[in-house]
Amino acid sequence: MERRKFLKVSAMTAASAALTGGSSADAADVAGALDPSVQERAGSGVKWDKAPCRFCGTGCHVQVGVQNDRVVAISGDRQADVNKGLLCVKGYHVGLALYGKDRLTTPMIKRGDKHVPISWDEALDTIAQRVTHNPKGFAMYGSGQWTIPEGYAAQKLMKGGLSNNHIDPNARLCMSSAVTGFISTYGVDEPASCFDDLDHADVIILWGNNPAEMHPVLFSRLIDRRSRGETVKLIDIGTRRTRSTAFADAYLEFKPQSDLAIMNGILHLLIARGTYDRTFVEKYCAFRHEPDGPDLNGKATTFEAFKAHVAKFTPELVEKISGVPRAQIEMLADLFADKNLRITSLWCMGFNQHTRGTGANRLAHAIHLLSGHWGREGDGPQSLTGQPSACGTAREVGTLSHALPGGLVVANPKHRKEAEEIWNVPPGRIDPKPGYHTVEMWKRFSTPAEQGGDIDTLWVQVTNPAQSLPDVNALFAPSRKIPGKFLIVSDVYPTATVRAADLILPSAMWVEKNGMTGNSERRTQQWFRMVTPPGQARDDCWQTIAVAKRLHDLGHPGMKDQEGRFIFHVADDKGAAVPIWDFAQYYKTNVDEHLFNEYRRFSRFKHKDLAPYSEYVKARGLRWPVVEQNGVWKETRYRFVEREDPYVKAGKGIQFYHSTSEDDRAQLWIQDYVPPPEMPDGEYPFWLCTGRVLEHWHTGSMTMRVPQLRGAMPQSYVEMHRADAQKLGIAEGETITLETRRGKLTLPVWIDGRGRPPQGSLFVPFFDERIMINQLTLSEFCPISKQPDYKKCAARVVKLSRRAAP
Amino acid sequence: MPISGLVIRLVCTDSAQRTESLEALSSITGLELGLNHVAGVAAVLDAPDYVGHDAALARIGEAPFVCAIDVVSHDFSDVEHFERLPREKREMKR
Repeated sequence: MERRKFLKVSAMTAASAALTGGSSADAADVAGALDPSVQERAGSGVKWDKAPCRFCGTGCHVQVGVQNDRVVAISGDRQADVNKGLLCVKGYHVGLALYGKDRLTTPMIKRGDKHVPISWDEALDTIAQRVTHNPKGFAMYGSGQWTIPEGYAAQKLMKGGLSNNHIDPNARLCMSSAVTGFISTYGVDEPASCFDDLDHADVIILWGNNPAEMHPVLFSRLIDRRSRGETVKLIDIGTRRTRSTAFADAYLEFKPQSDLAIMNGILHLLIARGTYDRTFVEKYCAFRHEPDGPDLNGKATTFEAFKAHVAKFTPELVEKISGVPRAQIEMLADLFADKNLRITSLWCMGFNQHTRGTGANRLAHAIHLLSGHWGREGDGPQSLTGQPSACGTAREVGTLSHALPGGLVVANPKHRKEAEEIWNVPPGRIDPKPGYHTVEMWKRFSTPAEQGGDIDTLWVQVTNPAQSLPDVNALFAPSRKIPGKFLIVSDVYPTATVRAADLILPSAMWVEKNGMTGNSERRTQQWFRMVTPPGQARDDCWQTIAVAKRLHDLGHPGMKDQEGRFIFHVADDKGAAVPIWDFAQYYKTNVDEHLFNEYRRFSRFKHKDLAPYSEYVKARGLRWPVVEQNGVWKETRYRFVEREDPYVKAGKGIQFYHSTSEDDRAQLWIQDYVPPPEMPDGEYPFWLCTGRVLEHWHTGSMTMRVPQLRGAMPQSYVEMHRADAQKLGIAEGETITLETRRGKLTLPVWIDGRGRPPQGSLFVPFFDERIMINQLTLSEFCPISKQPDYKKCAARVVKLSRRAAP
Repeated sequence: MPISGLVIRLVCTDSAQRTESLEALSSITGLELGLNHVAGVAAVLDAPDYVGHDAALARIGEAPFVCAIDVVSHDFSDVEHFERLPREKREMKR
């Protein structure tokens, strides 16, 4: 068959299979068409293998086509439960993200005002010497894009080797409020439900969430069900109209921060009308409050106290606080009162990036628990994550500054002992004091030592804080002017952070290395290296291990285990040490597998059991706990639910076996509405909200280098309501100055664009490094999760005299 | 010369609307329609370059009763990377 014709046949069969779930005769040969051996027989010369997509937390699987050591094609993986063969616009361009022309290919160090190439040896020695000089002044800042082995290696280097807990991921900025919400409600982190809910829900409620752009493949499940004639009600509760709103049956627009009032209002109506699920509450729920102020653990209280608290949130008061008409509050309460419905709640940054993020998460769980909409297919709360391994690495490996792998924490002596035993390091090696969370870490890096800035060397991997930190003028920029502060950055492209670095390390990305990630529904995924990274770019995991070896050779005692072996000791089949710190030897063994097998031992402590590595090689991801039953490794769709979760005892129905109250009950929290720390006033009359767009991944460092994605969305903008623009005499496309109390920048106005904020509100995406909106955002954070609020601050718009170029 | 496999989602209430939609889609250069299913239409888009690819996707989106386009595969093995410079200014339309 002629090559292009073959490619077209493959494309058509893939589309047919996606359309029918592979059941139709027209799609019958798709499996063969997409089978690597068939493709190779057909002479395409393309070798295919599976990998999860590089981008968001959905965790779609792609088939990656490789020819001549280069990725040349991407196809949705029909065998993947998550995406069933579908991909979004970022997903099908993911292969091109590797091939921007300005990939970093050699280590570089700053000399004077220039970066000059150096050898890897010199780069590693530089890091090792700085860490040796001041090990407590060293910090690592990673991300939810760290693979599981990368995060695990960094975690072990810091907490198990250097006795230093100053390691935190950018996931602190995107989902730590979800973590504290889950822990305080269920006693353990991560969603109990899964994406299967989207196939079964009668009602889907979006709480400040825009999955049509941020999780488009999940959103396509809804579109798919509707196009098949199913009735799925979509309720969009937000502060701005989005692409998701266009598909909604009802849109409830609320004033920023007032989501807590709305949720309290629903809870009140359920109790006042007697429509809550009394049986579910009596069997499975307990109540908690914070008598001494914001607190992760709180104290037990009673249903009566809970009832008395929510009673003040009458529909009239909620309408006054939120701007949502009382009829719509009652409509929501009516939905939750109907036990025949299956209701799925989805949320992401709207709840999490919130100065009361923990409270918002707790209340979402409380509504589902109080109404008994919990534990059935399509019936439960589901928090979404933004990054491919925010769950797998940041949460499960525990790269947050207070955490240890497997849901353990440094402050707990028993947990430290367990970790020290697995790592085979001496008792007392792990520091019991949590390290600095993200905002604190960067604040201390941006403060002179004599003023308390005790972090002097900071190593960034797989993230771009110069663009993504809030209030970057205060948290990031000062560090670049303070003598003695040394910034190390491992990355693939010259991002804003890379350009500001003292030492640059070129990294391999995605299928240029082995990897494992974990998506938003507890699904652990694996892939193999498929192409060679450019130049001297190397795996982040190798970089960490190589630095550890230099520290070992310099005599740092923490780099040895109790037998005197290197803490990243890897042996071959004959027991001989494999020198994995030498990159030429790194792929002589599967380092990911070695690290994963060690990490896997942590997964049993909180019933987050992981399967052997080989099971992930075969699967398109498995949702933990994965437990062997009759010789088969079985994943778990719904946690805490009998016959789904192997740890729920027979006859229990639902068992919250990590319950804070130690009685198998989930906790419903009393949470008040608290006004935001900064609100519009006479000087700064607008609300400013920030976020993402469909085409770009976070700070755009990869997607802005894909011509199609950049072409589709080449520049940032500010969305403004037409009435506000008219009032200020601003035309479509006109460049204005946007100011907050922290900074200002110029950017064009988009009126009635893709997103439509209400009067008095503005929205700016953060993907464009030429328009760094985080110079303007607020670094105030949730007192429990320490997650900053990027969604609301006060701003003003100043019209410039000149018009923008056409 | 990218080749994409597409699922075109339609919102038709009767067969006349579906016929109208399919006729409009059939007229788009480079678009080959396949399986016509209640949940949508399978299709392949074979475009001469990315400009043509984008333009064809836009035309598909504008066809009557099309509510969404899912891209399920994308082959760019014949595409010269960075074949065109990105536009630095976005044309913003109502």
